Amino acid sequence: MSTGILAQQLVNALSLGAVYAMIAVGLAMIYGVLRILHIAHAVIYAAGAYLGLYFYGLAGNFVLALIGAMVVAGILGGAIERFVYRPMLAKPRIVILIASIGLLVCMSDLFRILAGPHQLPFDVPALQTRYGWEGAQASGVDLYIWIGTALVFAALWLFLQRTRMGFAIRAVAQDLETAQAMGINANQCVFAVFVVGSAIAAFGGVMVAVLYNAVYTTMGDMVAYKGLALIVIGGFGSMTGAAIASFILGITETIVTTYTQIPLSRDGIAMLLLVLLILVRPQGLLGKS
Amino acid sequence: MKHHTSTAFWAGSLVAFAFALLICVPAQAADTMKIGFFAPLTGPFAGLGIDAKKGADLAVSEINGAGGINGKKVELVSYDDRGNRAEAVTVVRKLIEQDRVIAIVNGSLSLTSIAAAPVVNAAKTPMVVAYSNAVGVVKGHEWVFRWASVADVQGWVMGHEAVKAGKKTFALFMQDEEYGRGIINGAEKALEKLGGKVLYKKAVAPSEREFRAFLTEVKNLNVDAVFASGFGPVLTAIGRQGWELGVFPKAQLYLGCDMNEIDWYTGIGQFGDGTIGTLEFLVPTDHPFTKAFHKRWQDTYKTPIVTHEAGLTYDAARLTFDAIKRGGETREGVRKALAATKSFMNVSGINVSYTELREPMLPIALGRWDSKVKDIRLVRVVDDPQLIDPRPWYRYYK
Repeated sequence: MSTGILAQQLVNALSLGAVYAMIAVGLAMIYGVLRILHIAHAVIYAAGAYLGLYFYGLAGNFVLALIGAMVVAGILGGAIERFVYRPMLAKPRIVILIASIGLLVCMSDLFRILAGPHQLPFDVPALQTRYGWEGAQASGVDLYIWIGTALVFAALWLFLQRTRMGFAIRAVAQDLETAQAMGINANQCVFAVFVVGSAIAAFGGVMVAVLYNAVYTTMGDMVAYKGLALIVIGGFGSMTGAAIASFILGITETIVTTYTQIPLSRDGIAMLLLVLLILVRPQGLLGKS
Repeated sequence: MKHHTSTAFWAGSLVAFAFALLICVPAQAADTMKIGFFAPLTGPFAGLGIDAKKGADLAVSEINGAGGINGKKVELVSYDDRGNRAEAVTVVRKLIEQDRVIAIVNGSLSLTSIAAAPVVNAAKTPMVVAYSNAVGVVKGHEWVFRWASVADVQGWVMGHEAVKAGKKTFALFMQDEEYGRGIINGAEKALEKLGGKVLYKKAVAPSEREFRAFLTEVKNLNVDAVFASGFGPVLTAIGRQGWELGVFPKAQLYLGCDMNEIDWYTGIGQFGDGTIGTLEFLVPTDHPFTKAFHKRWQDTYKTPIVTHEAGLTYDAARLTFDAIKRGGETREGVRKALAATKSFMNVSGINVSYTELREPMLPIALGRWDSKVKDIRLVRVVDDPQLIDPRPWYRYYK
């Protein structure tokens, strides 16, 4: 394999991994504070894509559209926490899981009703410029994904490590009841986690939509399962673990699907790899046994 | 005592409600005839089904505008199968037993059609399948007729055309389900026969959107042509990502009939220029029938795009009406008339006849995408019986 081909595959894999990380980190945050499997996170990702397309149509400016999608998706995620999950928190976790699956199904149908059944193109000509390096090429979309991911993660780290709210969220993630006993407003923290996690998922949704020039009702379906698997691999609530797992998945998926003849789809191979990883290391990459 | 009174009250109410429902069900008027239709109108495949229904609705409005069939108006009884096998069986049973339709126009997918075909066959109700290409839908079901081509035929034509154009080395992308496999099977058989060399082959899921890693490999192999089978979103993703990576237009891209889906029209733009599709019809052509149809279509739906599903379902509905005219208003009469169909003009203005296998000898329209006109231009129509005959392909499907 030439250096150029290897570099190109690395470009492909890094973008894929970054997008997975956008989904998995938000999910890991939510699992960290509430210990719930928020499957409906995948529809926030899809909603982000639809919102981005809508705002891009209105404003004609990609950055504004991206920010608009993240803000509205953040509000949507917060609303799900406040009006769907919070009233159910006293009930067994299976109830919340069922509600989450219900949201996933209903919102996919809602997208179809509102935006039509057909796949919609999300074409941003300004991001079509291609940049060459050692025989490999990266598009403007790839650069946006990489730089955006780095900025989002840096901002998230600063938020969690350097702000009072971030400190409170970390306390709630460690032990919700003790944090509450010490006067921390846990509801406010959980709400903030949903808002931030949803905004990050929307970033992922918008970037995937532009990368593949496609927004469609079922775009969150496989993401729902992969996202959950990634937080398990990452170590149940570990955001760093989820991010590392995402990049490992992006790279492994690219290599295995391209250079082997395993008669499984990309998603099938990804899920198989995730199951194998869970078998080998049940506590996840950064989880404690 | 109170309990008994309450039970009697609710039982009485239930009977009254059921009776009210019964009298609300409209009886079939003597001056109308019912034709069944089913398609995925909601769910992930809704786009295909809704397009198919547009085609059927236009055919119904035309026939009714022209006075109906033998003086009777056509009533299209439509159901949503949600792209689900079990639901398809349920709605087909409803059409046959409850609505007592004369015939069914099937605007659904291969997977649902395969489930519905045995039910239709057992109930001896004629069904014309508009766009599902899987052999298993028709094979072994005497009451089921197809209007589309067998998928393998498209690949067979694709292979012949590419070799004729001087292409020697190939990469194949196969959507891994019956339709996608059929196209690539036909293409591989053609390349085997004609000496084309396959350097790369990849099976992909219908939900796949990420092709960059695969196309990077294809670029490295420097092939002359790429064949791709699949639904519109898959084909559009391959076309666009391949162009961005510099695979196309250096290598010629050939696609199956789902190039003629809305996803291609809205999503490919200049990235698809020069791509060739093996299509089951093409609008517009210069034929007066096609021109007149296209005008009615645009007046009705305010779009010039007639997708694969819409055009084929329009034809399937027209063919069904024609069979009723010829065979009478009985299911057996319609079946016989369908089987005896010779020279029925399709939407491209081409006359088509049926083989004894209830598969049409459907000419393939080779079309080339041109982003300047945002449409597929006709290259030529392939009507050589050696290339379009569906019958030889049956041996690959048990």
